[in-house]
Amino acid sequence: MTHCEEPGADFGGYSRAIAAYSGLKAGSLAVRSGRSISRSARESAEAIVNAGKVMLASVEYGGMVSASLAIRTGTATGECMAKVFAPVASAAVAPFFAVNRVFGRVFHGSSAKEETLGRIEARLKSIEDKLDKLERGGVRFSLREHVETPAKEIGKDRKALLRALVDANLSLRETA
Amino acid sequence: MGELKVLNVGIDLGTSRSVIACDNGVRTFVPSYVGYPKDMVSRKLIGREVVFGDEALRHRLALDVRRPFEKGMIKYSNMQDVNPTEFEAYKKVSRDLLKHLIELAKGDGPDPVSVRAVLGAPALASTQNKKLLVEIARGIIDDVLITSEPFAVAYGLGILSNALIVDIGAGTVDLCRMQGAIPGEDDQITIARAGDYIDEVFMREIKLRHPDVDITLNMVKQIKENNSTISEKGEGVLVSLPIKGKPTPVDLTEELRTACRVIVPEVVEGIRTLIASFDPEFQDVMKENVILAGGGSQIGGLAREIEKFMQENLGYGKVTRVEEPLYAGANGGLMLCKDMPPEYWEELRIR
Repeated sequence: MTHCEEPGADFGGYSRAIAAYSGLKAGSLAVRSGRSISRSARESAEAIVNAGKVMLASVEYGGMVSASLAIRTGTATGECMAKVFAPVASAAVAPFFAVNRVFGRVFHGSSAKEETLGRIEARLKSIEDKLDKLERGGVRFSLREHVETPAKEIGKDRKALLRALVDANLSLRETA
Repeated sequence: MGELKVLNVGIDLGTSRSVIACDNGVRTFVPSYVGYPKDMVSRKLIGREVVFGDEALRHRLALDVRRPFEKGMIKYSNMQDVNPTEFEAYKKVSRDLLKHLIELAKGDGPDPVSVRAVLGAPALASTQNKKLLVEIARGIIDDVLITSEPFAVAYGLGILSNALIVDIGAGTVDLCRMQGAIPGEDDQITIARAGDYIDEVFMREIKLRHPDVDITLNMVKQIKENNSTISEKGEGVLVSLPIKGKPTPVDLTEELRTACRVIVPEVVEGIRTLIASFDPEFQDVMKENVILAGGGSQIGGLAREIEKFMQENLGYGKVTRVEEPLYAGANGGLMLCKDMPPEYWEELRIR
């Protein structure tokens, strides 16, 4: 047998090698493509998220600027109004404060407000109690408060009418 | 007596409500219902021998509830010979109610007082009935005077001449012509169809138009008192009533109007009689002074309806209602009581 081998035998080996290489190459390409697609998708999603964040930040910033402007404007206007109206209001209220001070000094001690409130509360409670009694038993006062009123002066005509009424009642009692 | 304080009282013992007004400020009323426990169990439950007014109605299932007055007078007072037992029983009921009213007037005051009272009676109450009122007051009131209810109303209003008082109660409608003197029999008319008759007609109309409705006379009375009107412009009366146990809304507008209208023709006829028999020169003045009083005068549109009837039958009429229809009689009685000179009271002292 010569050194030269049959070409058919090597051809089979090459073919297998080529097939294996092609398979490996195809697998590699598929994996790379998948990775590439995945990376692209991830990057796209990140880009969308980033865009959203930027948008939100823009809106927030816009709002803050508007609010700031509004507050500054309001403060500026309020200060102006206060400057204009404060003296007027102060002048209008001053007499009441003065009256309160004077009467407070005369009638109340240091805890005047508390005392007044206490008295009002006690008064309200007594009114509520009275209302409760009235609801239950009609209008009724204690006889201890009963005051003898002096006999009313009545005219002659009225007296004659009452006399006739008494006479009618007396005759009623005398009737058998 | 000289030592005691005097408590002046005006009382209207009504068929539906008993009203009291006193010079110590008490002004109240009690529905004229008196209840007695049916047995020992109910006595234990109620805790008292006798209860009055709304309380008696609330516990009516456990009580023997009685209305002492009918047609303005003590029940069975006209049938004393026929049924003396019932008559005595209702006399006691009347006494209990009067005693309760006086206790309300006295309140919790510690000092004893002498009670002087003017009691209102129907315009044409018989002498016997008026005597009965004096009798039930004995032992409860120290000095009592009986007067016609519409006269008490007129006295309270200070209208003693050229006016016609129409006092509409539950038992009677009393008409009284005021001409500056104590009204005699000719000056007064008592009509027996009043508030209670309206209740009966209302009940009959409901049963006629809504036969399935379960309703009692007490419910009918409540509905009437809350909604009574004869005005076409008034609101409708829609009431929830049980039909075979189920609360069902029932429209009673027409039934109530029909019932409230039944008293109008007789009242107008009474007004016509009293005006027509009056001095012709003063008839026009009297037509201008028709005054409605009593609980029944609170029916919406009644004054207008009477005016309409008066225009048709008498050519003209002006009807007004007193400010406090329920208290008008008692207020007048109180005023009479206070105006009466002490020497007159001495003559009337109940011995």
